[in-house]
Amino acid sequence: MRYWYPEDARLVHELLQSGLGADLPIDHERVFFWGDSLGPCFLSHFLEKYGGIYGGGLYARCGCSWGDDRERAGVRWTPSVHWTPAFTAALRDRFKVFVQATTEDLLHSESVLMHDYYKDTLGLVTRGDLDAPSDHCAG
Amino acid sequence: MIVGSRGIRPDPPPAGRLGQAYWRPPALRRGRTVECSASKRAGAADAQLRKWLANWWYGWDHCAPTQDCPDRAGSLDHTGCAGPSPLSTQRLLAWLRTTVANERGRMLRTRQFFARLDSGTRDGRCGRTHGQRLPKRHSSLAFWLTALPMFLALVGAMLAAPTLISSFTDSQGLTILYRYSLRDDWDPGERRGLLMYFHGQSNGTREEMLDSLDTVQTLAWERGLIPVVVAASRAVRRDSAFFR
Repeated sequence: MRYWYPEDARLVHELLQSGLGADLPIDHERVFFWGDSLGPCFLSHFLEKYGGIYGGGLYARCGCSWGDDRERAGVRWTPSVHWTPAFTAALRDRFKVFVQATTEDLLHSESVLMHDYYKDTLGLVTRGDLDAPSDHCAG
Repeated sequence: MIVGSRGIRPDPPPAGRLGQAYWRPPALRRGRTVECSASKRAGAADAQLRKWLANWWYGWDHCAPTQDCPDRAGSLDHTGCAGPSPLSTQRLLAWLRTTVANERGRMLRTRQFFARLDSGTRDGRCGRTHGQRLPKRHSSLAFWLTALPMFLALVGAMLAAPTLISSFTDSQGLTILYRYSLRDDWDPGERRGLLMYFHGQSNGTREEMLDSLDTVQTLAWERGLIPVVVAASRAVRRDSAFFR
């Protein structure tokens, strides 16, 4: 069982704030998150809560958004940042998103939704590679 | 044209691996092509190395030596050709350069190696920084005699790269295990960014995560980032093989 859970978001956030637990001086404006499969599903949840705190980017590969419902409609959505248009505009220059999935991927439609969400709803600099034909997390 | 739930889209990509790798809807691709100067710089010698290494290393090879690289969407920096494809010869060469540079005893051979690579530039427009062009009849032999032992040595160095394994417990009492690595020539006190990898539900075994760290490390180090792979907190408890 290697499942990511919602409470892991706080765990990851505190890990980053602690300098990887070793007081390493971390540049919080250059934190790039890369997830495969379930990884982006978790990261989409993490970014809803802590995304505005970190600059850098998200590489979501063959993944999905968190849960069956959209994040903000869920009872677990307790963001640490306020996703207002002004906040998103300020974040736009600090954080970019890339969503990649292949057409036969079981999570392809989720990735498309994810791409549209970051690009059209949040207005972040978002790019996608969603048209290559292959299976889940292949290629 | 295809009419679907996402609207009207162009026809499917042309057959063939290259077409699949590069195909984009024209509206997205137009005006976003950047020149892959770094790959051009590698030249003919690089083509040999590319073919060999790319096939050996996951078979990923997106950037032909003389072909314009589409601006790979979502690249983590602004290098243009450094797109989401996990490895290319361009990146591998960068990794070779930086890793070998850490080995003092091999510095001279490293310079000779890359001098030969640079001397193989086809058109010279990308600049030639080291050495002189070797006679063509000797280039291939010299290249392989130098590249093979160098590459084997570098793979060994990479496998032996210091990796720090640690755990962290947060204020909720949850514990996370993670690996990260720093280059030998980095000052630990210098502020650096991270490239942080989050596994999927089915790729969290020890071997897969070691593989992931290698790939993440290659991409991160060449950008001055600290590579980190983390395990889900539940994976720590229910799948002890993760970091064993």
